[in-house]
Amino acid sequence: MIAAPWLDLCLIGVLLVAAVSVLAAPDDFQAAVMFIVFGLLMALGWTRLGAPDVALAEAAIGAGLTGVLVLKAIASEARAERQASASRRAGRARLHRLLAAALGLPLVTAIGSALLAERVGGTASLGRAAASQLARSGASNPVTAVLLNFRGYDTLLEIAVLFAAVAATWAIASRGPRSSLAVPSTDSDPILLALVRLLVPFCVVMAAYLLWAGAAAPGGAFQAAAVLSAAGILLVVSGMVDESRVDHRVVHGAVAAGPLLFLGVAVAMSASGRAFLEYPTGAAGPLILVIETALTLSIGATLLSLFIGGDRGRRSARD
Amino acid sequence: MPTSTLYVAAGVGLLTIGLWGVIAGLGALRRILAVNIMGSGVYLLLVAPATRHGLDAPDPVPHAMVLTGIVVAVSATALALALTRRITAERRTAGHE
Repeated sequence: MIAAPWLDLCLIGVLLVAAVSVLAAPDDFQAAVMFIVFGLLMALGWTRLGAPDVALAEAAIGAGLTGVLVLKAIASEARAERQASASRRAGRARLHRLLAAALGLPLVTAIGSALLAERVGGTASLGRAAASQLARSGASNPVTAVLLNFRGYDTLLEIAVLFAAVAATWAIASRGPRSSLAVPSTDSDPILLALVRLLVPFCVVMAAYLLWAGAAAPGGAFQAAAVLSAAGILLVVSGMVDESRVDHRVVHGAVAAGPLLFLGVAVAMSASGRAFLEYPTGAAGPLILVIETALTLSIGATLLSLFIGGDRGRRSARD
Repeated sequence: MPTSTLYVAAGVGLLTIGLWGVIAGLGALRRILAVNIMGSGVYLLLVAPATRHGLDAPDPVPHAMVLTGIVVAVSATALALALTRRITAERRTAGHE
């Protein structure tokens, strides 16, 4: 790591300013834009900390997908709600701020001083254990090895959380009429369409690269899936793909395929006398690649479904 | 001051700012963003101490945990936004009646 404390100090300063301006921005749209800026600055911070895998995920998922989700939420309904409840909120705000100061300051001071004093060292032994077994894991990128081999059950549970989130989003979607997500004047905007035509194939190639590179270099299923879902979001938002004509059985199948395949591998391993998610030594590499490919498609579909929301699925079920 | 300590301090700062945003009586959308900022602070607290000097490479275990955290955070955010949308819709229909 390059020793340049002033660079880190500048980055941290701008990061904190960005975080404050997310909360202090005069309207929600500016807050969303500042949040995307904040996410990209976080990605820079991760590269400074020697965590390129996290940086990729932060840029694609933390900044990109969260940002687009928030922008969509603002576009679809925030206006009416803000006018209705602004006056009611103002009265309570002062009390809340007092409460925040009274509760927050001691808590954060305690956490901060504990961490700075202790300089947490508990995970160092795990890092050495991971490094010593890396050759047998089937992946030479240690982060991929941890995610899909050493701590595969964490990732399995994570996929289950994603699945639960999508199912819950479908379940609570409002029944009212919805405006389309697509830009209204797409037909008359050749520049947007040309840009999407250019970007979508690039995104797909990028996703394939990230998936393939993940075994040995920064990258992996989650980053690839985020880029893949970005391609899908571009297609939907630009109106090139009509969301109402998407076959929901295909989407539901794709969402379910990843967790089912991962779980299937885990069950097959434990049925053949191994530990849950313990791969046979020689086959670990190919198995990880198969699981990652399924996860990429599945998580891509899941993230796209989270963006589109539940209303479409509900309607098609009734048709 | 080593880089890791700087980023631990940044993590504590983000945790503070996010916590303030959650409690300070802002709108639903800002609170959701504030939880995300708190999350980023926690991730920094997990990863930054793992890059201490003395190890040849950064510890991959917290990196993998944070990657998992980012994906879980985005799904939680999507769910929170869907809940907000539903609450707004319910309030609107209640207001019309």
